[in-house]
Amino acid sequence: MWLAAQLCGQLCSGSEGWWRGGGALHVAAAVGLPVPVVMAAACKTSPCHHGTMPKAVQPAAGWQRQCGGGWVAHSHPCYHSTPCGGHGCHHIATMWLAAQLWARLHSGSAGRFCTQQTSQVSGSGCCIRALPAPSHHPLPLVLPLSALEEISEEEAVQIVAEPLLPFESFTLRDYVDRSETLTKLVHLGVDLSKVEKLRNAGQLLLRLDFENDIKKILLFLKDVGVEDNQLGPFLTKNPYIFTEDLEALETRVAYLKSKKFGKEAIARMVSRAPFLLMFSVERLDNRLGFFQKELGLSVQKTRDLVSRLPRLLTGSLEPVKENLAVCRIELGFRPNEIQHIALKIPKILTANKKKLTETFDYVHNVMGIPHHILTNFPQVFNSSLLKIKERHMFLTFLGRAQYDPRQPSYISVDKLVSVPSEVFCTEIARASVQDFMKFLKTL
Amino acid sequence: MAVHGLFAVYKPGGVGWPRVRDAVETRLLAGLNSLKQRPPRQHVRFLPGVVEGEAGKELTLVPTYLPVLADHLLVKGPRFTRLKVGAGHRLDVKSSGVFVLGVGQGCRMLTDMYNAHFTKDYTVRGLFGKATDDFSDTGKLIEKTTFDHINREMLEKILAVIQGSNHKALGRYANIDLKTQEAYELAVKGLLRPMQKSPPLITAIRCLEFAPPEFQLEIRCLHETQQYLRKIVHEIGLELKSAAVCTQVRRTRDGFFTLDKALLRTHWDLENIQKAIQDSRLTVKTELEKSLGYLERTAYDELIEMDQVEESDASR
Repeated sequence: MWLAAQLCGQLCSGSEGWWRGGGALHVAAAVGLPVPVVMAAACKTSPCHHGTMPKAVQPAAGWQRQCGGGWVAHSHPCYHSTPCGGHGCHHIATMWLAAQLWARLHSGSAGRFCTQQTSQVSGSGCCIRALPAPSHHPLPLVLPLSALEEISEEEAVQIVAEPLLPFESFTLRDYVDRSETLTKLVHLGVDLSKVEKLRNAGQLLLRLDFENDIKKILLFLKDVGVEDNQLGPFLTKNPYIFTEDLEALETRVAYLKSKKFGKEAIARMVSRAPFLLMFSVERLDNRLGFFQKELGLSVQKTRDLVSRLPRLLTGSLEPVKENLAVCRIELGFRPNEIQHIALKIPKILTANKKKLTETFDYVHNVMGIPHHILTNFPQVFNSSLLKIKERHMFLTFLGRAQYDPRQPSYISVDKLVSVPSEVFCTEIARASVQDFMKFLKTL
Repeated sequence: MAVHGLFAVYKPGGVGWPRVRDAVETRLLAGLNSLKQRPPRQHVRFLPGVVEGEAGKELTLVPTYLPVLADHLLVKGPRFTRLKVGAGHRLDVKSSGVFVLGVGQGCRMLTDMYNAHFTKDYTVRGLFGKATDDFSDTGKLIEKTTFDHINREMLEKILAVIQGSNHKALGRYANIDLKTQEAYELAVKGLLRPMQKSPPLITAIRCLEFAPPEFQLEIRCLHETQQYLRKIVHEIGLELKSAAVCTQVRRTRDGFFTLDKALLRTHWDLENIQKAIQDSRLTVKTELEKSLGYLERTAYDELIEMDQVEESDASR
């Protein structure tokens, strides 16, 4: 008896609202189950239910405990969060009932089924859609009107038989087909395969409701000026923005506006440094102050620098300090030269120290280019050392390596590194590409 | 088309071989993932919908054919995330040249290549007048010497001595009596070489260029390391009553992979690598069979003998 009651309880428990207690009972009665007690229970189901870590859930109705000696609080037929007196038996029985329900849904004639069919279909167990709406809030505790109430065909047709979702998974692939939120995010261009690798991000997205939680952030980002095709990459990098308070985000944008960043500048900064809006106003202020002070820039120039490479603001400041020290002490640039270089290629502030010194060592000591030319053409530091070496050696081999602007047949350092190899061969080296390739194989 | 097989790349100096291998792997993966992907599966979903029935509108479940979202590229991620890329005979950081790589099933042939004990060609540049602790020009300077007394004849005399002593060692490690017909035939085919581990052996060495203080040697050797070749340069310097450092070690041939087959850094992409594998496939097969032939032949003979024994057992 307790078993039957539990089954009803399970079937009726938490889901979207079309799960009527009466419906379950209706089915139970139709298939000839002895139903002595009519019980329906709406169980409180954990919000993360269809996603991830199962939580122990409390039964909503006390009777379950009395009649069974244990309780089954989850609507999944195969899963029990708390020990049950019935052990495995009610598991099978649940599946059996599920199978009956499925059979009834798909055939329409109720009287045909009897208990003998259990063995044939019980293996599947994939008939009940026991999925609550993806929602933040626990479902309200709604007791059905009457358990004996018959459901209409219209209601019955809404009972969808879908395979069950896994309760735990390493990937969002298992849920994407059934979760409205994830589906919409994919259509937006969010790379879920990358998001699921971020800490807690998969869990976070599963719990969100598109209408309640996501829409407002998306609208906010649109207001800030993030392009439509940038939204996907933005959210791929920073799905945590959904946890932020909308007012806080607005305050930060207002702060940036108060610092006289233009609308386009803010839009570009936000889309290129997705974590920018996660920083509090104090922290943003500190960081802007840091760049202004360390480089000795004017307000306008700081704005230019930061809007050209906004990841400076979100990244760690320690490497920036180190790079500045490397430029000053190891490479021997003067402060105003460093300013000039940093404004021309802000990337130098986040570059790898070792790469920086190696490149400088080659360019200055081997190619013999003095500091003032390097200050004018700092693009050398952005290009790969191998490329510089190859080209310089080829030019030396041809006798054209002449980097002094005062002498004839001068080759600008900027041009040396920035043009593609075909252009380099024809215009700068005045040799054929084949010759360049052959030369490269002698290095 | 599957990517399986051997190909050679030109390793630039100053870059470690694992970085070269990784770069090739990354570019291959990028190429493979940019190819056309399998279309997503389709599945039937029963979506609630309104259907015109006898009694006006009815709410029913409408079967709908939808692509499976789990197969979307943004959900499942890139198709290939790792690729088996194996490295052949290694080159150390400072040296450059032909570097053989195997992809997929081709990695097995790398073992065959190792077992075939092919000779390799190097060009080695040296500089008289200095000696360093690691025999290369970037090492710590130990001594400076004069080199005015050295001429080409002296250098070539030393090279002849080196080649002679190595030739004797080659006969010893080849495990074959040099006075036999078999040894003669192997030597004619150019297959006379040790077929197991041995110390580094130089089969041929000659001077390509002599312009003091610089000189350039061509060395054909097997079981060598690049550091061994630098040491040879150092020792040549000592023998000539001077000192020498090695400025460049460059491999121009590894087995049957020559310099013109090696792919340059800018050509490490799927298309070029596929073409290189395709081009070298036949050579790889014939050369490996030729070199491993006599090893396999002995194994094959044993098999035939065993078969014959079994047959005679059965007939009895």
